Amino acid sequence: MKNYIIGILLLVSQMFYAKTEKDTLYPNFRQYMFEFEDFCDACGCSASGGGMGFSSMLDQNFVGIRYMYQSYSSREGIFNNSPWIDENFNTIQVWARIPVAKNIQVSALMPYHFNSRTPSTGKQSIDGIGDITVLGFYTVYQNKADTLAFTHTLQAGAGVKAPTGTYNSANNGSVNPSFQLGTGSWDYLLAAEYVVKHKQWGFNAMLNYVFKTENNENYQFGDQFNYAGTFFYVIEKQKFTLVPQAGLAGEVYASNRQYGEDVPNTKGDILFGRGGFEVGMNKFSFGVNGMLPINQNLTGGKVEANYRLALNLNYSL
Amino acid sequence: MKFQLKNTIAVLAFTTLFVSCSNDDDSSSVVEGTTGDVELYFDNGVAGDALILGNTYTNSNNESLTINRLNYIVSNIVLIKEDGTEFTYPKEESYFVISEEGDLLTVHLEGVPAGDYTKVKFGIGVDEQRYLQGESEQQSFWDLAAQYNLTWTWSTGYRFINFEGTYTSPAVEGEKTFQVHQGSNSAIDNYREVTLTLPTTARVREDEMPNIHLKTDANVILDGVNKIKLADNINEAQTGTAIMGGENLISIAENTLQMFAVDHVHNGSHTGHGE
Repeated sequence: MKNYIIGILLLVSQMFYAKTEKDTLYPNFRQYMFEFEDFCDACGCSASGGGMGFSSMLDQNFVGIRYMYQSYSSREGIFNNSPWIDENFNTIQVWARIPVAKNIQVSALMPYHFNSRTPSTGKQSIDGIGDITVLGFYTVYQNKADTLAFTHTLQAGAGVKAPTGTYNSANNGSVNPSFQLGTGSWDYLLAAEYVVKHKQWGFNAMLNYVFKTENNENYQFGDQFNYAGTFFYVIEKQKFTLVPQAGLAGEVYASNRQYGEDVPNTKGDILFGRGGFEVGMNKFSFGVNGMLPINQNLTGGKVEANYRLALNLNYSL
Repeated sequence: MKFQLKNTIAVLAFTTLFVSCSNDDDSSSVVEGTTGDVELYFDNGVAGDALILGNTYTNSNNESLTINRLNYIVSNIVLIKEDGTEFTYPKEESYFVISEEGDLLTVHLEGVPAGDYTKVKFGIGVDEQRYLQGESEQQSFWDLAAQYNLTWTWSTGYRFINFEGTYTSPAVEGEKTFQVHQGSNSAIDNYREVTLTLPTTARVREDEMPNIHLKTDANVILDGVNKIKLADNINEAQTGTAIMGGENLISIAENTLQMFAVDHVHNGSHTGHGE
């Protein structure tokens, strides 16, 4: 644990050292390069929670904080008329995307979760630090904005998610196996992002895949595939930039496994529609995003996502 | 360049975090000669819904039943491994009452050899062999069964299932009582055994207790492969239906072969029953 804290402090302090110099090095920070980071970052990254969509950025490099809320309903019991209980997943996340070399950036996400639900046995709450994710991104392709009608950027990345969030198998006796702060396992990510822009219009496509491993309670959350496509429009005013956006985001989960066996009714998928906007002013940007499910089949129908909401405040580097 | 260097250091600092721990402790192996506990949790339902005593539901015989009692006996529990080897729980200890009204829903087994079990077999009711051992041999269980209305007199034996309440039917006027008392008599043995496949392995270890969560469907007692209409069996006074003997019990015995299924199995050291 001590190691993590030192590491995070190091990272954060580096970011603040860095910002004093970045303007000269990165004059094009206002490229309106949207980064829709969609790594399994909410609700302990466990089955029904992961890949909370969102967060477009006005800037390629930033440090920020975001708050995410996810509302679920879970069936408590095995019968058709078993009661549904509400589950609330809250996350406050410090995140950053910083350049480390030409064409290479590092993203870090450090979540803090506070989740609650009220089954018949009484209210349950869990809170604490979640799983920290670090990814490196490499810009595979980028053309220059000034000369062409269309600009394209393609980035690919890989990363790791550390089991800094507590996994408690006692929470697993219930229907929603994702009522956790973390997966308890070292998980690995591959990610790709593509952004195309034409005048004020833009489109961002994002794919990522999370390989999950077995934790020391012999539980393994299912691999997770996240995808999203989002259109955005840039309105530039004298004092600020406003960017409305709308799109689709989906998540596909493989079966969870325990002691090497598939746990029945744990695979699933969900498709969200999402919308929101970003406002940029000077070096700050503020964003709001909401997601509503269009189609879902999570945990054999025993868990339903209701909606998700995210707010973020970023400072561009 | 300074900027990039500093960031590179930060990343390196971070990377060192990821080379520390690994979890190779393999707690999955079976230690020969050790034993553990097993729980069977009987979650009583009716036609897919949870059984709530006093609630009314309509079966496919078009009769509406208000169930006020569901008690039954399960016995002779056998746990079966993938390779077919069986562990038979000691017969003297292998009789249990399940009662919705008494909130007696869990069977707790001890001294089960460590292993990975894939099937469970148990009897519904009390077998002839046990019954014929005589009353004094099984006094404590007899007393327990009596407490839950699962006995007649000793000479007529145990009730395997006691299913009671009231009903309405298009064929009869008003609300009538019903009593279904399943059992054997001197002529017919209605004791039956069911073998259920577990959806995932039940892992028994010294420090790991599987909880086998069964789903019971009381609806099939009358509305299973054999359809038994309560109204067809109403007494002469037209006050109610009591099914306690004859051909109906043979039909019910066959129906109850479909009464149980394993919904899921909890494994690990934190398994408790509940939902």
